[in-house]
Amino acid sequence: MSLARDIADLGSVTSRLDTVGAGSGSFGVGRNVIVNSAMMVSQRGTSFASVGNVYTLDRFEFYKQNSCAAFTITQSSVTDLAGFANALKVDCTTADTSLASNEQAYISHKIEGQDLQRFQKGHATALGFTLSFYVKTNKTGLYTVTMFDRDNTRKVNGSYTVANANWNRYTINFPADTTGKFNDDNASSLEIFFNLYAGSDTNTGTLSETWAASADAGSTTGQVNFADNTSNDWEITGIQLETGSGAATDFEHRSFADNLQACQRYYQLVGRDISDATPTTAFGWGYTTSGSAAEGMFRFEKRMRTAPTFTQSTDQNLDFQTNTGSGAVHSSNAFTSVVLSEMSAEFTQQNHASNFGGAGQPYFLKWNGVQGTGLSASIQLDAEL
Amino acid sequence: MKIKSAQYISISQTPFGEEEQKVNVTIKVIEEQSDGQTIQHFIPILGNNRHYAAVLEWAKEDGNEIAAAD
Repeated sequence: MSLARDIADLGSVTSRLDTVGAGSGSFGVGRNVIVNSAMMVSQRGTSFASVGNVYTLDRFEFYKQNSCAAFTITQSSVTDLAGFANALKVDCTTADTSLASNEQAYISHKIEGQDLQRFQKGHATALGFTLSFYVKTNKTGLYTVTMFDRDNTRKVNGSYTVANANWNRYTINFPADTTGKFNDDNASSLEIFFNLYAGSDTNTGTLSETWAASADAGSTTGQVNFADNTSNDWEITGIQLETGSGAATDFEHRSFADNLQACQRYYQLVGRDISDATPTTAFGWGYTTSGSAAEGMFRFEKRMRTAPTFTQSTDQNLDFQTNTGSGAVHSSNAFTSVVLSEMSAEFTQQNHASNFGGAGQPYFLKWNGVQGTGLSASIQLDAEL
Repeated sequence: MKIKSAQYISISQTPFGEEEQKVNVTIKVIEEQSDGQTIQHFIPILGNNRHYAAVLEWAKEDGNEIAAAD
């Protein structure tokens, strides 16, 4: 048989498989639209104390509203759930036993509209959303999960009941929605909230389990108060969101490299890893414009979702390697201006403490092997949703 | 984000057939952290950057202003 014939046959088979996948729901590799679903990547650090409205493990944000309760979030090591080594753990460190009506806290995950077109939302052929995940908590009872369609300001809710303190896999089938298409762009279209506690503004009435215009009442009805005791812990991993309206498929495992690259579309720690105690990576280059000023650039490790926010830490430990030697910067103003795109940063540096050796000298930038605490010796690029 | 100050950063551009012009492309923001330390951000002027949206909200409050570029 000819090579041309083989290719033609392969194309025919692929076409039939695509048809099966589109019509009957989840199918094949790449069916899970959650990024960092096994909690493998945590570029910002592995422990976040007294958090509120910040990203923690990559792609997962902790949101807290009007609450005096406090929490520490960690990337925990999992040893009692086969197939998984990490989880996102929420530890209640300050309790709140009497919730005000407007209190609420949840872990959120936001997804770009262009990655959600497979759900056919807003079409007559719209597919259901099957959300599955593993949770382990010593606070038993009913928990709620909300899916918020930011493009059309619509919402649907579901629940799972924790009956014991073991790891359990839970599946929630959210219905299809023939109203309101997801925008085909790089902005947040679908936001998933794993609720931990909620006051009576949302925790009232009957849980709204069909898509409808967003409303507070009925979105967390029956939710336990996870913040009622400092002994409470809640862990989650293996989150999967796929098309379909029945049983969840097996969790789709991805390599660490795949997960990291997916996360770097939203956040990058430039030229180093948070666990690297003595970073020495070289990452940028440029030329001097005087004995104490320079211009340079670096390309990102991966194209980002949008031009990111560039944050430099307060005690930079950078070496400027020129042909006259190195000169460390220990200033919060190592960079005086930065111009950003999805791919690169151009920067200027002025008032440099050491002598560059005059204008026109080429140089490159590298970390000088000294690490402060956590992110204190770093450049962070943030294009999160 | 607790913003202490914000200032535009501009670059020079010369569109074909036109005079050189300054264009604001980034905002330099000094943020005060919970421990009192400050940290510096460079935020692109783009609607789909969540920090840019936060700076615009900050600038709406009385007494807050994004300073012109140097």
